[in-house]
Amino acid sequence: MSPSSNPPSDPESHDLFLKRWQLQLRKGLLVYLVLAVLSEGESYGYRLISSLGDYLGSDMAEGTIYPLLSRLQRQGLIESRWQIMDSGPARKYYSIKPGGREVLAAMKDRWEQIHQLLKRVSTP
Amino acid sequence: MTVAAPEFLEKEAVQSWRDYFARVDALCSALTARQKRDIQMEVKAHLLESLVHSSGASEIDRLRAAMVRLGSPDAFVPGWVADSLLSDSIPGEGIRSLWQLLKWNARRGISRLLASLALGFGYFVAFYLFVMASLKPIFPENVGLITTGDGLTFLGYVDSTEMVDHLGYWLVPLGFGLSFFLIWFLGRMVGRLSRED
Repeated sequence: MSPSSNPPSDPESHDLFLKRWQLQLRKGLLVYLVLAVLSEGESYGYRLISSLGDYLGSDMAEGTIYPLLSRLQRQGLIESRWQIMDSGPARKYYSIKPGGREVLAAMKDRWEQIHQLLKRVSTP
Repeated sequence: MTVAAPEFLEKEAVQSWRDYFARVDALCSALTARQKRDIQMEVKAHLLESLVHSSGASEIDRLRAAMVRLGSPDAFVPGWVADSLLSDSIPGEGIRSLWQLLKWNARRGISRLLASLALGFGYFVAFYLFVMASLKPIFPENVGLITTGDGLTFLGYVDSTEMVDHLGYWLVPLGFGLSFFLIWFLGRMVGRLSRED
């Protein structure tokens, strides 16, 4: 039997694997978080990103949020309006629609199921 | 359509702002004036607010920090543009917007294909130079930048006595140097293309 030719397993490749996995996870959860932030009140791009704190990290550009907001708006989950400011440029405020709240509630349920599953499979 | 730079005191900051929005503008070319203005206004509002919260000794430092956090326009504007085109395709001007989206995607696809072909050709040239530089010490009389008796000049292998070798052993350092430079440069280009995705 010939020896298997698996790629080398070293700490560096583990780090890279984890980094990519975390990035995918954070990207996947971004929709949920954006809807959750907007469920607490309307917000605009910069403030929304600030509400997420360090969640985006250094490997996800802040600009990533804008195509996502545009998509959520197209899907009818959120809506937007321009607000003229007394000083500074106009801001585009986003708010969650009733359909968005329903989707958010369903996502919370799914997340709870995943959480329970994780607890179950990670308990020896 | 350009977005006027805020009143920066440093020329470098004004230039940086203009370059950034010129790129945003170029990426929004498929959009209507209203859609384009929406994106530009939102990017402008974000950058200005981010600028206020940026730390740095000079305007240009703060502006660059804000731009780095927001990301290169190539990293987020294309997705935004595609979505704007789709958004407006639903209610009113459907066919026109869908046609714009198709054209925009086709243009991006073709430019990606051309870039990939150019990169592939670049790697082929780097490999060829590496092989020629490696073969020169083994076949010193036959390998080089050669002009044959027929007046044909090329880099390669020739089995003939009627020829002129223009580089001699210089082919070895030049071939290896150019080959490694090309691999480094193409690697950077591949990284850039991947980030744009």
